[in-house]
Amino acid sequence: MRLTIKTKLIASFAVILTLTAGSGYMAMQSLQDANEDFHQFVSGPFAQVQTSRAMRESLTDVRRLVNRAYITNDLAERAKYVEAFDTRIAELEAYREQLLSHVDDASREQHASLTADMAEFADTARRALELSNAADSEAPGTVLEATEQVFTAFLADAARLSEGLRNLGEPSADSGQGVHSAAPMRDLVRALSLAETVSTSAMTARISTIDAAARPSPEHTRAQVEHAEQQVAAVEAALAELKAIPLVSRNFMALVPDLNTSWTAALAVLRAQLDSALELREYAALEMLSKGLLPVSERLDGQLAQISNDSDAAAAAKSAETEASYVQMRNKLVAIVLAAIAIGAAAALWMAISISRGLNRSVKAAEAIGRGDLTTELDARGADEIGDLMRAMKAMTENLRRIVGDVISSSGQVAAGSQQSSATAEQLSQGSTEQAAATEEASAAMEQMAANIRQNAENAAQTEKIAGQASLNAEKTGKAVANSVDAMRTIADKIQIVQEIARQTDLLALNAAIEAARAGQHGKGFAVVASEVRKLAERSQLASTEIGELSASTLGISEEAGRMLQDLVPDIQRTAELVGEISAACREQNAGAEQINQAIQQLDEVTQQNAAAANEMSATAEQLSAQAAMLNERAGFFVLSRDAAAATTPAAARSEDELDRQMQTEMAGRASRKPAAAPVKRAAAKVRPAQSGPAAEGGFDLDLGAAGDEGGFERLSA
Amino acid sequence: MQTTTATTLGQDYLTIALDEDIFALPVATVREVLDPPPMTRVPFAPAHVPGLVNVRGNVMPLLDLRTRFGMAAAEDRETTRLIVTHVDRPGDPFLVGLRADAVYEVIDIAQGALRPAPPGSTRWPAALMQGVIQRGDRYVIVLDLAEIVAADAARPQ
Amino acid sequence: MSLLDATQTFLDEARDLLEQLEAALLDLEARPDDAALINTTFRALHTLKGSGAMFGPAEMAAFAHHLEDTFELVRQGRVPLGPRLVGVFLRAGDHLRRLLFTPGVEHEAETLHLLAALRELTGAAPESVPAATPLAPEAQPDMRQVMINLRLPPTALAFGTNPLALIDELRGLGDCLVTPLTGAVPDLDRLDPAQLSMHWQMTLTTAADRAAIEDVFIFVDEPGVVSITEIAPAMPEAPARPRAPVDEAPAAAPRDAATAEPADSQVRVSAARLDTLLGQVGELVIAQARLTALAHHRHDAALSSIVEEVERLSADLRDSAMDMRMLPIDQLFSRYRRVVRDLADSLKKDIQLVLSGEETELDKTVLDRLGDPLVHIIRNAIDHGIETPEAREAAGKPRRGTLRLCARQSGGEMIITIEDDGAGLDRGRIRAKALAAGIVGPEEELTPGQIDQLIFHPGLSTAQAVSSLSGRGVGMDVVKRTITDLQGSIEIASEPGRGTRITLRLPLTLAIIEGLQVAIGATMCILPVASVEECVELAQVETGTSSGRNFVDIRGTMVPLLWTDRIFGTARSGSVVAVLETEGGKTGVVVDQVIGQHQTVIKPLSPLHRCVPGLAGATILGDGSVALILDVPALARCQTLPPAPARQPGASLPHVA
Repeated sequence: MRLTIKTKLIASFAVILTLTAGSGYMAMQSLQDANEDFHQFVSGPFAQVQTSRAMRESLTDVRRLVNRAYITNDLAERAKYVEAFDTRIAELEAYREQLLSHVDDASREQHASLTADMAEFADTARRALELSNAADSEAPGTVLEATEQVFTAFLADAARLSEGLRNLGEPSADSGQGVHSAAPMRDLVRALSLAETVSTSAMTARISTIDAAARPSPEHTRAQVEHAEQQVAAVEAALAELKAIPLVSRNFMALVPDLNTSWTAALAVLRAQLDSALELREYAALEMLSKGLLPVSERLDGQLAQISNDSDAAAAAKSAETEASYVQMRNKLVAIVLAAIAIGAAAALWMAISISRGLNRSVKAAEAIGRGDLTTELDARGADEIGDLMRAMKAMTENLRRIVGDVISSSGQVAAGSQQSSATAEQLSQGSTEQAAATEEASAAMEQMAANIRQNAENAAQTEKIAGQASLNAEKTGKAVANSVDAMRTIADKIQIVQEIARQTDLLALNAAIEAARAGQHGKGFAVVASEVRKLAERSQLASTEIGELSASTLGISEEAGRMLQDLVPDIQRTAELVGEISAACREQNAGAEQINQAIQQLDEVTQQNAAAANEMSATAEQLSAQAAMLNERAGFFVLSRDAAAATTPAAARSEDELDRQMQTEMAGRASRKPAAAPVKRAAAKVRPAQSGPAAEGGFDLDLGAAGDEGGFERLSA
Repeated sequence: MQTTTATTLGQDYLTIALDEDIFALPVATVREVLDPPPMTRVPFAPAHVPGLVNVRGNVMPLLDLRTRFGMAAAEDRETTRLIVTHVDRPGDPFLVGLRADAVYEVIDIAQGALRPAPPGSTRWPAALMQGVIQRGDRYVIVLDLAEIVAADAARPQ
Repeated sequence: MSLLDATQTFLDEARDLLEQLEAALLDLEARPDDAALINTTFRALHTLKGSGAMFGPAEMAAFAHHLEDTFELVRQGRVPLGPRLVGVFLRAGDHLRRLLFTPGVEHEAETLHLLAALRELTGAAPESVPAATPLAPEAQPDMRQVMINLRLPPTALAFGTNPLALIDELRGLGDCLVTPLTGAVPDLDRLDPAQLSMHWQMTLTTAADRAAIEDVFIFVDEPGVVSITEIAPAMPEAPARPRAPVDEAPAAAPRDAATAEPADSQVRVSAARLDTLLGQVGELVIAQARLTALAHHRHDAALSSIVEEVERLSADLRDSAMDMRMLPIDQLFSRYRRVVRDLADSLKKDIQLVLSGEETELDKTVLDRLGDPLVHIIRNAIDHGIETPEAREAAGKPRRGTLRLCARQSGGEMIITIEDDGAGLDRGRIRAKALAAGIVGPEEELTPGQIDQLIFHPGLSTAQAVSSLSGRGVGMDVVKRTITDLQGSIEIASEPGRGTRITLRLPLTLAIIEGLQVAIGATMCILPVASVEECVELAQVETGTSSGRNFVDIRGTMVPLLWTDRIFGTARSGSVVAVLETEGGKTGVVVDQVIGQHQTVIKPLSPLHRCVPGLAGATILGDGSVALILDVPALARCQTLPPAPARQPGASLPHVA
């Protein structure tokens, strides 16, 4: 298995990082747990304790509110308390919901009873509040109001009765129903007193009822109720008696039932008020407060205290649990950190040692190659990157050895080839010179021919011009003939006008003759003139008719001539066109000859250039040969085998001297020779080909010196 | 071509032609001789006065003498002429254009030369003729213009 | 101015003067004391005498002289101007006219008779009255001295001007000092006796006003000939010569001067020449239309602008020429005053003629042809309408009957009413007459209106006795025909016992109508625009055939169609219906094309074509061709008849157009 440095590094770092990460994760986990616990604590027992405390406070508030509501007599204040009460109850309800949201199923039962108690408490408190509301110190006013209407009605009826009675008693002029006898008078008096009694007793009963509603104490109330009952009885008795009195029943047939009815209504209201007074509700309220509300609230309070305590206990248990988990976690973390430190130190030491040893060997091998020593055999071991490096260097040395060998053999071949090409170039140069001479001759001949052709073209052009002129003239003639035909036609037309004029004149003369005839004897002379004019008109008509005929025949002839000419014109035009074409061909021929001439001259030039190029090439071939020799020398730098190194050293020195001399000769030859322009015949110099510019620089010697210092080099002859 | 040579006392006539026959009109009634101008047809008009022509701003009826004489109607020819004639009907004078095939000349007819037409000598209605005169070897029929333009002559013969 | 021209001028003026004289005399009968009228009369007589001596027949001049002398007596107030005298003077006026226009010896007796009558009435022998009676009061307060330079042209003698006569006449106006100026008279050997080489300078002391002096020179009044300069009022010590016969009322002087002034700037033209002018203008308009058509084809802007100019000018020219033909109807009316007077006299009726709207102008042609019908109507009104004074009194009406002659213009029409307050038409007698003449059947029931219309029936006269005035029964039907010929209409309204009113409606002019040019085949026709209601595409309306006649439904109205192709013998290609208002409703004329609206100069038809139905006349179009003016109601009538006899298209003369 191959263990590279990379693998080793990755493995050791992976172990250390894994350990670190594990410890970090554990720490984080424990921190999260702690955090969760804390949250649970806060929302659980802590909140429960808080809520139950708040609930207990609210309960106390409610009770206080109910009490206050009871105590107060002011309605507005009580309304305020009722409002506050509603708020508190809603608050309590909210707390309860809060409390219940945190409890587990175990304590659900306990809380169920709490809910029930809460409901009961709220119910009871509300009832107490209502009762206290009912226990109103304003009751007397209420009674007064309630009884007002019925009693007023009743009293009004009674008053009407009394009034009626009084009226009966008073003597009246217009009424015959006055009471005058003693017996009815007595009845009347009695009835009056009875009516009075009814009113008074009813009033008294009402007052007592109001008084009873005022109820400073239960005893007082009861006494007042009793009094009222008595008064009621008195009223009823009086009413009964009233009905019995005949006077009344006779005179107030309608009124008495009214009175009865209104009394019945009044009595019903009165009784209701009395009953209400007797209920004594405020005591019930008090009772409710002491007996209903108090126990419930205490029970609730107890329960809430219980919840609070339970929560405290739960909190303590949670705390202990947290403490234990913390200690366990701390120990685990310490162990992991220690293990990571140990593994890291061991891995670092091992890797440093193995890398340092491999690299040292590689450095030594590279230094040898730099010196040109390609003989070194490298020992390539190890499976890591250092081993790879050693193997690569070994391959490099081998390849270098092979390439240098190839270079040396190739340069030898180049030198031979260049000598050969130099000779060939010489031959080429000679051939080119001969070709140039031949081309010049061809050019002269061509010049002669072109001149002849030009002459031809010019002649053709002349002919063309003449032919064109002829064609044009023919056309003009045609037009002239056409014009003359037109003119003839116009003449014919005009003659018609003249004819028309003559005709008109004839008519006019006729009219004149008529005029003259109408003028009678005076017109006779004029008639003669008119007839003369008419004669003239007729003659001119005749003449113009003749002219017309003549011009018509002339017109025919001219038209014939025109037509013939028209036929001729195309032929002439055709000839002109053909001549034109010949001329054009000649012109083209001329242009062709010119072009050929030009081409030959170009050919001449190219031939001469070729000759110059051949010379150039010969020189270049020689230079190439010199370069090949130089390359051979340079390749000698590398030592390819140990035994050959010592033998070649003197040859290298000699060749160095020779090289210098050759350079001198080359420089001189260059100076004496003109570059290219004209074909120059020169013998191929039997000199060693010169080397190129940069190679002649002196800096090379220094290198050689340095190379020599290093332990010499071998030169392989080509 | 004949010429006017007569200067003797008598009446001047204008000779005209219808087909081959020569007629004469009293020249005193003739105003003018013209080439026939374009005619505008008049519906319901008598056949011998088929339409109206404009002669120098005067609208006048065109009376076709051929039709009036019961000849077949003919197209206008080179020699066809319109003779503007003044009809001096009492209280109602007017101009009428007579269409003739040709107009020749003004001739002078001596008094007494005019003879009544021998009955049956011509094929023309005698009512339209004043008489005939001999002129050379030809008879010239002298027309009665008043009769020719008689308004009730709606029916040519 | 040649002698012939001068004579013609004199005749024209004399005719005017005679009319003036007659009018003035008729007015004088009503207002015998009107000095202005007397002066007008006198001046008319004087001028007639004066210029008649120069240009007129001698008898006429002499007679005028007598008349002037006699009237002088009237002017001086010596002789009262009674109706009889007026009557004699009127007859004398007529006699003057005869003497002037039909000179001859046969008038001798009448001359003597009239002079005798005059003598009898004035109690003075005209002969005994000298031409210049010394009668003027001692001193004329307004004697003036006037310097007159008379410088006649050398050719004046050749034209018949007699300078001595002028000077004599001038002398008649007052004391005249004549100085001949002979400076221009050449030497005797070079003197041409036919040439006038003298001038005169005259100093006239006269009471006559400037107009009277100018009247003397009326026939030589060419610019530069006479110069009249007022020098100064006459010297008090120079006593006025009592010879001055003129006694001009001072009030009349300025009026005459005012009327004399415009008279100078007027030119007398014969109606025939005016007609000729109008004819030539008509031809010019036609030629101009051809020019316009030509310019339209040329597309030459410069030419077009000139042509437009010419178009405008010729239109103006035509309007002016038309205007010239317009004459006030007073010319006609004034004639009737005499007619009424004479008629009333001869019938012993007392009739007052009330004229109004005399200044309304009417085309001369219409005016000329209207004269006779109006006379007929007026005669009828006097003869049959207005009762005798006794009958009128019996009927509780004023003795004097009133005849009202009223003219007024309404739109393009002239409305003339002739109204009398006589007995009205005797319908019973008209009916009886009509029955007797067989015009109506005995059982026919006629409305009063229909009976009234019967008087226009030929051969009906209701006068019990054929009088010289009316009753020949050729009156009203002729009247109606004349009015209809004039494109007019006549209406009659009568109320028994209250009077009769006859209303004539006439076009202002006959010469030109607004015409709608339409094409029917190749023939151009003109429809009077006034009666064209609308033009509709034939394709766009419903056509139907009902018992042989075609109808077209135009907005719910069935309009009978007139197929002109049938009339003109063209192929049926009508595409447009021109709906015309006709007597019996509407008629749709089917034409091929509506060309446009033109002012159409009506040329009357000759007698040869007058019998052709459906033709109202002809006109000349812009291209010189003749277009027919259609009489649609007549056409509609003749379409119900069978097609025109002997007029098959193609069978007659070939179409030369």
